[in-house]
Amino acid sequence: MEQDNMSTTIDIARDFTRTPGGRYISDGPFSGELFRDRLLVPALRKARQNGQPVVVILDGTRGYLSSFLEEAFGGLVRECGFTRQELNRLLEVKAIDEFYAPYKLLAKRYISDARERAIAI
Amino acid sequence: MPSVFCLEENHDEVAKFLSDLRRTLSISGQRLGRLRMTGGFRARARRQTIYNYIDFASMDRITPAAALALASEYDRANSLFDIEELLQAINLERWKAEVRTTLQDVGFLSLLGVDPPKEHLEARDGVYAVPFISGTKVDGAVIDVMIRSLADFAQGRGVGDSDALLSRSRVYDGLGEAIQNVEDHAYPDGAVFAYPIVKRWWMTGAVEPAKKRFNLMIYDQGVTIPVSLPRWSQIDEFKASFVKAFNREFVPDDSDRDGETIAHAVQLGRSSTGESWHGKGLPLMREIVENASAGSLRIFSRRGAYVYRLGQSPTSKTFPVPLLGTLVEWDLYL
Repeated sequence: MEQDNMSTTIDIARDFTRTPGGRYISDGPFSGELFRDRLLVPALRKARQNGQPVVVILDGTRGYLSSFLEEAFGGLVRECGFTRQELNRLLEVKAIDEFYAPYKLLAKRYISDARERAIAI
Repeated sequence: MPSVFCLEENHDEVAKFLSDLRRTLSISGQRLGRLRMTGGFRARARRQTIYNYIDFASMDRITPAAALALASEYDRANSLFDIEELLQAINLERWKAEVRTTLQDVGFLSLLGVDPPKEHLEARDGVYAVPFISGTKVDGAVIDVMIRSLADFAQGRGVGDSDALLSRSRVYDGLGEAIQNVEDHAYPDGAVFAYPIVKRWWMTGAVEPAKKRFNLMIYDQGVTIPVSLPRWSQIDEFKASFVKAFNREFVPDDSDRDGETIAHAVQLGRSSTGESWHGKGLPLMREIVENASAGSLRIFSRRGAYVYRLGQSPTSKTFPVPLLGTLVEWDLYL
């Protein structure tokens, strides 16, 4: 994970794995849930405080499973209390190589499709 | 023993053989367990009784996909009952060379203890298969190993860009989606199976370098797609569109429309625009074919078969005899 004065960058292939796995930690190694909870959420919480966006680079991996992307990105809204508006402001998902562009679209779609979990009081 | 061991060409005979084999191996395994407890196994072993063998000499041809399903039955039995000493290969010299090589390549002979791990895989009509990998988790590193094995083979035989070709075709995603489906749906808690099961998947691949043809397949012995559909998150949408398409209710226990059911599940995922759902792996598996210059996706599950060939409309079929699991196979010309 790289941090400068402007933003925090998470390069998935470099900072997490070249071979992303499935949805949940219980599904196997390098899951979307693990990525979200270990890297993405802490970086976004910091971003909430300092206002500096988090950039996630998708390039360099073997590919992605839809379940990984849904849990990692959709899960931010569904499980972790981030709003879509907040993520629009604080999170930039990047695909430098055209090969990764469909994953970027999926990640964004999963964020916009995710429903915030109702909180019971 | 079916002479043509291919699910596409000889589905019912192969499916019946695999089903009978599961029953036979289960009974043998349970019997062995009892003999071990009573000390009878040693006496039996001293007499060197071979009471569990199948004559493969009558087999004329076997595809890597069917060989994978066959190997999975032996692997399952060995995992459950530790019956390696009972699984024997006899009269190997009478087996057809192509059959023996395919079974050897995919790792079946290793299960029978007659084939030590090889450093170099053998050729069969220009097609090379790699030993199967089995697992229980969605593990990208394992998928990567399979892709690399195939790429290395092709690379060494003139397909210089094979790793890039495989990467660009997104087979990593396809195999991963298939494994995630196994993880999510194949072995649900509380499911009842006729014989003991291991909650695993099995994967292998083959390559024909001269044609830049890559064949990848994954098999599980789970409840099958039609049975698992009620647990999918968009089952209500599926049921509604099923009624619309076939003018009858979707009943998971009714296997008469398994082919159409699988085709419908693939299609629903493709057209679905609603909340992301756990069944969407199926359409993504189909998209792998669209990244190839030619190729097909075949799914066999219970009595159903779904085939999508690039540039053609998908077809589906329901066979009389059920397969006790799900086989997903890509045949890609890259």
